[in-house]
Amino acid sequence: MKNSTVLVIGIVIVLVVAGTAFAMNGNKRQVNRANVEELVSIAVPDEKEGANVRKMDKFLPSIDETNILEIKENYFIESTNDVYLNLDDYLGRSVKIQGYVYTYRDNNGDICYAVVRNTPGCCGNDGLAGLDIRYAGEYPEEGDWIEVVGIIGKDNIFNSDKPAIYVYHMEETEVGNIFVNR
Amino acid sequence: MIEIMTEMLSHAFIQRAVLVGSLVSLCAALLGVSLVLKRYSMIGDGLSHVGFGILTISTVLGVTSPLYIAIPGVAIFAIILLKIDNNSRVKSDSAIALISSSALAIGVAVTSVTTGMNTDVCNFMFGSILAMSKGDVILSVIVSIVVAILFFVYYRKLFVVTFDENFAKASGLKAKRYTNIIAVLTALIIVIGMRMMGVMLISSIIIFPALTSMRVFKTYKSVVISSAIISMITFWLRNLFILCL
Repeated sequence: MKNSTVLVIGIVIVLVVAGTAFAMNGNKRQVNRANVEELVSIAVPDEKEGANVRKMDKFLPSIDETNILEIKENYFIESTNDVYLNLDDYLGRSVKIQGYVYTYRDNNGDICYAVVRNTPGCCGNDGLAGLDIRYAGEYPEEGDWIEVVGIIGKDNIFNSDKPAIYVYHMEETEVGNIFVNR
Repeated sequence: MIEIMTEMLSHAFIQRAVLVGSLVSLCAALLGVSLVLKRYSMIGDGLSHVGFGILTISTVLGVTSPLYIAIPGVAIFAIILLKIDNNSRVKSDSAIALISSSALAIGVAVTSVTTGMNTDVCNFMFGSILAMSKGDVILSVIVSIVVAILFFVYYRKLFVVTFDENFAKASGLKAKRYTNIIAVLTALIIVIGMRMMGVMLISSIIIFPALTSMRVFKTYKSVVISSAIISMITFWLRNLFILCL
């Protein structure tokens, strides 16, 4: 094979690698991150539920509103999945997400709240995608459609660190697509 | 269209997918020409099934990075398969079919007995290019660059071994060594490509660009170049189509 051909293919490979690496670093450089150590989750007894509810220890005073990562409907599953897969890249970032309130119990029997949407599952639309939320105030009712703005931190769920949004602001909004397929 | 592309590329997971997908498609197309010419078109399919079997067993055993186990495992099977020639008692196509179906059966049996058909298994079966961890991406980029470099370094020797192994031996070339290099490079691309295309479809990125190019061009060099270009273009078009839907 001629040297020029090798050179051209080599340049294409280098450009693809360099371009993507530059884009990835560019994204990282622009983002201000909150101190994740300050985001603490606690189990608070709830008389109504008769169990502990996982909450945030205090209200967040502020977040970086200039660079909010918005988890949109068109890439909901991939976006939330990427937060789980590459949690370190997202820790401390401001985030906005919409979905319905879902609760489950962790291995300690504590009630955990999450914002989720339905996705394709094994038997139809019975899969779930979303992120846990931790809030210092009263949680909305299960099934309510909400928009959450907060900071991505982590919490120990089922004996491993999982992502959780430490809520700064939460409000009920118009119901969007309950089912997403991407 | 530009707006859609800009919006797509603003997501980190899509940037990673584009990077890994482009490199894997390119390398698979380069190797595909040699494999198709050596009549090992189905080796991609066979090795991906072996990879699936190894990955399921590794996952069940609690290995945190199963890809690191799968790469040497699949490389061993690739060398075994490429060593089998048509003078052997078991012909190469039968050997691929035997190993492929056995590995898939073992993988499915292990999955059924242990974790069940969960998301991880589905991702390996059908591919999920948008669900790659940073570690997977780094491994894929390094492996792809190594494969591309080795392919170009040994280009002339691989060319001779691909067309006529006996002639290569007669002219003093260590044909077995270069056949092993093709086997290992194929194994590397299959394992990292499985994350992207899935076990069921990985052979398509090896076979289709090479076969298409062979219909149009007549020399090895032009087929290799055309195959690489077709592979990259179809990867981009396919992803654009899927993501825009």
